[in-house]
Amino acid sequence: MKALQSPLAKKVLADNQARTQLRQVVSLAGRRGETEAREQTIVLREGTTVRRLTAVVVPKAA
Amino acid sequence: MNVALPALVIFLLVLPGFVFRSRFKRAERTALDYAPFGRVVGEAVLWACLLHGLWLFGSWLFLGETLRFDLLLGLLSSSPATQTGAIAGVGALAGPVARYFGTLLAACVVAPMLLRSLITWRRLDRLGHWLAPVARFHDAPWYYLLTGADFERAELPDLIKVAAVVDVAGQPVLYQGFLEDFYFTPDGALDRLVLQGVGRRPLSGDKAHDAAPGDPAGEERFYPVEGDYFVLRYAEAITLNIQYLRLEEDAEPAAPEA
Repeated sequence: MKALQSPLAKKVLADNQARTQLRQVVSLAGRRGETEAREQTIVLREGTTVRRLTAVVVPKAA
Repeated sequence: MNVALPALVIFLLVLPGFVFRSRFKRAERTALDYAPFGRVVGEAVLWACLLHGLWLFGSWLFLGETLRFDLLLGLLSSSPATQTGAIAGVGALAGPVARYFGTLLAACVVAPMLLRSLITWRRLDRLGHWLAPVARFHDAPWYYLLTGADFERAELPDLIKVAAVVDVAGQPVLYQGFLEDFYFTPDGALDRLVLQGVGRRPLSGDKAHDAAPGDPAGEERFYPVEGDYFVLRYAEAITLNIQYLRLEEDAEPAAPEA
């Protein structure tokens, strides 16, 4: 069964550099006990456009 | 050959309920239904009653046909003479009876799929929705956990981070990645998780790194696992941590590359 994955997440995971950055951002944020990693962004290149993203932990559905 | 006609009639009457129930429920097992027998029969009979009520109302409304209780009770009777008379009566109404059960069984195959799609599309089964007690698929806990079906559409995260501790040659190793797919065993247990962007680190190394906190080089302690997909068998995971992540775009406009 397909897990939750938005089109944006698919693009990030399909891009080697962005995927590595996402992994680093998430592991660093987890290590520091942060719920977001504002100081470190994920750079996603789509053709000539560059998108800068941050990963934020979302609380579980209530 | 003797046929227990009353039993056959009762079977035919409750069959739509069993078909509807089996098509409607979202369960994570495919081989056997381990639901308690009483619950299965209770649900099936309830669905059968609802469906027959709906179909009888429709037959009366659109075709002007009503239920012939005399024939039904005659078929269930233990008296051979009464049964014979009822069989003759049903034989005379073969067309309407066949149409009734034919359309009812066809609806029991198609309608549950549509109803399930509607529930999933409108998220009527998510935790906290007023219809959840009725619409929630109680046999599919992993579905709700790993597809984000419990979130409102506007609050849906982008992806799921999975961290699992796996015993590798007696040493606990932490694997961390982003969930792509998940699969079940035939009896409904979680079988394996397919991850992307996986990193791993032995937990035994934590103490040395903790000695120098704040050192950026020391903080990135995960060794990337090369490859497109990493398959993690759930049976081999000692613990499993799930984290929902949302990717937010920076407010400042990104300059196009030169």
